[in-house]
Amino acid sequence: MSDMPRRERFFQDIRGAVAETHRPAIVTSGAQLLSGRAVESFVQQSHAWLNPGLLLAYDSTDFENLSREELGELAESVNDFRTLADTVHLQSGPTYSQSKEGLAKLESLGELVKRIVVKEWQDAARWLINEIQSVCVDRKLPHRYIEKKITESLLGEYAIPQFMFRSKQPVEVVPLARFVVGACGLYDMAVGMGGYVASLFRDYDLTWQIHIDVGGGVEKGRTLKFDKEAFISTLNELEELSDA
Amino acid sequence: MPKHKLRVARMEKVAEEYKAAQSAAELLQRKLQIEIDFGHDFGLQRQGGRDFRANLESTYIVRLYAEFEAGLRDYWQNHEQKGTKPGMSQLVTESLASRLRIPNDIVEDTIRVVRYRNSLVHEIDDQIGPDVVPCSFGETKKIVRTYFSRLNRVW
Repeated sequence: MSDMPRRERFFQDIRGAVAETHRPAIVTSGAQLLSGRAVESFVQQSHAWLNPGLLLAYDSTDFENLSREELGELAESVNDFRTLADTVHLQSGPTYSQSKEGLAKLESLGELVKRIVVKEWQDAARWLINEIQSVCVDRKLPHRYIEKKITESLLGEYAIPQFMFRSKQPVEVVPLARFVVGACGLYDMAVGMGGYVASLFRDYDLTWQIHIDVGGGVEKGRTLKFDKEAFISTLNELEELSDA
Repeated sequence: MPKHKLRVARMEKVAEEYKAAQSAAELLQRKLQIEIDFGHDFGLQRQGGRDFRANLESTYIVRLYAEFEAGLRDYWQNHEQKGTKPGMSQLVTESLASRLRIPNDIVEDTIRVVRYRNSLVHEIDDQIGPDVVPCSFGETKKIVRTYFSRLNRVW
């Protein structure tokens, strides 16, 4: 597995920071909010993300695919957050008002990152499903797709295509998540009822790959670059196993 | 029976036992309210009955976790054929998660369970640390089953 690229690291860092602010320990009732302990705990936890280190992986050259407007919005939001983070005392950490302001800035940065990530992920997923659909059309296999609702931290709820078709057996291509350890998005392809599954994952270089592991551990499994030929051979293999 | 199914069945068995234990705890409490010396033949002290009820959920979380950990270690050793013995946090967040490409949210929920279980087992003053967020038995079961579902089922 290759190292996480800088752009993905930036997304993951923002995701982690936003998730930290949503940790159940921070979600307080109105009564708790009024107590000094809740404030102290909120300020303490904000020290983990309210520092310039959060933006270490940000580099504007990684976002040249964005429109000029989006790029400007992202740069502004990053600068806003960084300006505030630079004022936080390294040893004593943020004050309550810095934490409160930081939370608002982080939420706005998280909102921008969410928009960028969801759009890219939906586009990538549609490309994958279109490729699979065209295999089904060529082979005259009955098929349909639905928009599945997924909820992930940072991204919230979003819709992403799920695809079903009938080959020798029913096959489901099901989206799992955008944020995955070791990849930038994941689908499962499940064939029949026997539990035979291949992973379709979007690698760090943003190409789709197929991984098939049928009984010998990941190292004995195979990973192929996704194309129609690799897809058909994986499908055939899973169907044979499922038939056996 | 495939190993995956077997391991899941063992976790389900703990969940079923928990329901039985909850019912038993309820009955014990009622009995202790009406019979002052109930359990005397077993040397039961009333405080023991109260503690049994208060600690029941934690007890079964620890048991469920033990099955989960045993399942992951079995998978690591016998399916992945690894001779190393990583700690649970490393096994959950790195060793298995990166090989199996497990969604981050599932990994983070599972780490929450690992920390909570560790606090139940190792904290002696009943004070949980700032990084620990308590989980109910139901949540724990849902979280460990979701993680387990990402392991190869044909194992």
